[in-house]
Amino acid sequence: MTKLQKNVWKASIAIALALSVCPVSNAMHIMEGFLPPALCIAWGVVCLPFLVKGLINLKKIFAENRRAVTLVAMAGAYVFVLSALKIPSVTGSCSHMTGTGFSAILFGPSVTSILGIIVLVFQAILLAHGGLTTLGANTFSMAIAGPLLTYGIFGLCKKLKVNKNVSIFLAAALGDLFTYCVTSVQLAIAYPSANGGVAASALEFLGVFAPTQLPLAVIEGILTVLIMMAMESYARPELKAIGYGR
Amino acid sequence: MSRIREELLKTRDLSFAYEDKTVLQSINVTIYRGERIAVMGPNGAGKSTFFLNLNGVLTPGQGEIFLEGRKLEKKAFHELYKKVGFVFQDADSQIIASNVRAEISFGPMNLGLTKAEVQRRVEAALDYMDLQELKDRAPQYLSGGEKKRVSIADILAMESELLIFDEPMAALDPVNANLVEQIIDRLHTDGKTLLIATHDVDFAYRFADRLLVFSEGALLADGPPEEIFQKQEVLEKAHLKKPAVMQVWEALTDKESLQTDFAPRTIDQLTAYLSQTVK
Amino acid sequence: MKIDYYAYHSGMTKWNAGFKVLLAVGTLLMVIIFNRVRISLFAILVMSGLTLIAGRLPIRTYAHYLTIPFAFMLLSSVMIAVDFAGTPKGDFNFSLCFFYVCVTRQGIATAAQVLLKAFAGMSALYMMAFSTPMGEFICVLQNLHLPGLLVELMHLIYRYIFILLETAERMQTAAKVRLGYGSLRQGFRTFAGIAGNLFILSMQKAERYYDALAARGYDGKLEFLREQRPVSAGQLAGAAAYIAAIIILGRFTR
Repeated sequence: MTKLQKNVWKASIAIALALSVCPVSNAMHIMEGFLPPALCIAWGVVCLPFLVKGLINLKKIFAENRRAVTLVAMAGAYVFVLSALKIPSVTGSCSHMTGTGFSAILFGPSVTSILGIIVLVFQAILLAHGGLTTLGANTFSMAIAGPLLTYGIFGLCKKLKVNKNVSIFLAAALGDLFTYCVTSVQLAIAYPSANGGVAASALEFLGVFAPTQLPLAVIEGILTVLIMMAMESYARPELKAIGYGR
Repeated sequence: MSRIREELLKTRDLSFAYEDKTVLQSINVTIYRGERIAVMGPNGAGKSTFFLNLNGVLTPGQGEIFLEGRKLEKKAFHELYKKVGFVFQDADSQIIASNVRAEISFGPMNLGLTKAEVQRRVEAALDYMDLQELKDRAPQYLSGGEKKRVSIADILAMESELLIFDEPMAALDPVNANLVEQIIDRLHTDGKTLLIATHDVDFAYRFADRLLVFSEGALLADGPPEEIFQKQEVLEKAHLKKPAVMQVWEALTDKESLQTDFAPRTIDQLTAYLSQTVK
Repeated sequence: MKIDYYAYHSGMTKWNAGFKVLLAVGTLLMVIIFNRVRISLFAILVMSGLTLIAGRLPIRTYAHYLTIPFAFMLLSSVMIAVDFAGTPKGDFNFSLCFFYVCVTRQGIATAAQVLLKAFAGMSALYMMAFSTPMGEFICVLQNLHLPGLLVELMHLIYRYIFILLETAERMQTAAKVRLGYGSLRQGFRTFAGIAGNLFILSMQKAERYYDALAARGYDGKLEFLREQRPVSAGQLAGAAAYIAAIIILGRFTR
């Protein structure tokens, strides 16, 4: 290796180490300007049917009970705030929950898709996480794919009569992992590897984000369980009212 | 004052239940134009529910409501918000827009007015509450007192004759509490009819010309404050104390046997009287 | 949530919101469509200039916000530049036990291009975010005829976010005072306790908030008076010149 090569190598190891101790990414928002226009549009189009379904469902909910408007809005604000709260950690770093898994378990995937896209717009504008051109891609990974898997796993576990806390953990953690896999694939489609194409590139992205995303998924799972437990100890009737635990 | 008492709003046998739990039990109240009414009673006695019924947010299970002597159809109840304004206790729960001007416009917009009229009312409310300088501010960057003023302006812009305040001084510092009291006095001078829920007996005594006392969903007492504050059983049942000025006055009239029709309502009136008579 | 604060106190707050949104989104689109280094650089220059000079945002604040997506950017660009292969195919190759890490000049160039594009995108987004109060942004969406339900939820959610944040902060302070974040385990418990309590609280508040809406005649349509802020001729001319410059840079130069 030349001197330059060695230095580059050392620097990248150092950066990788630094980042794995300090997971700074708020889940994985693809940032503004990162995707080519065709993909921005394509991911937006993929999201559309889910969002339309979400809107139709919400309309139905509001038609039945108009008072649900503030309830749903409050839930959306809660998801945003949950994702903005700093998770306490030993390294003093700044990691966050996605909160959409929590929302999927409580409100179901279609309401979550609408809350999710609104929260993503706010995150882009108020917190500089993500962006407007990448909104479609981020919505698909965080507000649709992840929550759908979470919801599916939670339902499956219920059918299989798995312990409730275990199901919540699995649902939230796997949903989070799935979001990160989808994001990696999205990035790989945009930037395929010269030698191995999209698949190789996806593996690369999965690999490089794994040190931050794997622990975060576990943390998301643990915290979602703890929050549910805390909530149940505070108020069961409220939870019943929004249709959880029946 | 010799004017004829004009009836503004009247309830007859108004009852309200929330999921089998009776919250209000046949309430009969007639509110006259220009009155200053203090509404008292412990939390959970039904005051807030009563207000929400008067304002059309909740629809009573039973009973009738009369507006200016006219009996209202049940389906017209929800339009009461046009005549009855309600300032919530917690300004944060009332404010929804992202700047002061838009916030104040929300009520008038719902009244179906022209844009020019909405604009005029918003400007007037901004002036009345001295909020012109804050009109482009976001609620999240206002102080507690400022938010309170915005929440009052919200309702003023709807130009309703009857204004309901739910514990307007709660959670305010003394400076702002004082300010709100001045605003309330000004509203009375400007001809508004006021209905104010409060736990502060001293405020109720100096402000009100009529007292409504609620207890366990029923109207326990309705009359002039100087009479009701004398009724021991009412005070006990509603967990109320006698106003300080009244206690002092009674102590004085007992000892000094001051025989007079005059009874001070405020500290100022009391001290003025004392400095004149007691040397 | 500092961006929100700056949006109300920017030198550009009084500019027409639709104009700012259009300028930002237009820049975003042109940057990713043309995908050219010089256009990205030009956009960064103009957008940052607007934010710092016309918007009077302190440069240190701006610099801080530009580093937020840094980790994502760095890792992703490294991945774009780097490739793994069985044989040393790149211009620079590092041998790991079984395979090579290859970096091609082309790869580095692509990564640099993507990085600049991302920065240009950020600068455009920041120009808008640091100068446009969220309420006005939502009204722009309303003018674009987005579904009313969506716009209404955005209005309410934006307002409620601050109420919940304030409550959460108060709870966190209280927890800190009681040393609720001692160990990691305890920290997680405290965090979850706050989050759980906050949720219950938010659901309870929602009930009262609906009453307050209804008390002012809400019947399913959230409408506010909007400030009319005309676009000045100078702003229009500036925007036109800017767009023309980008098109010339993208089309007619090699």
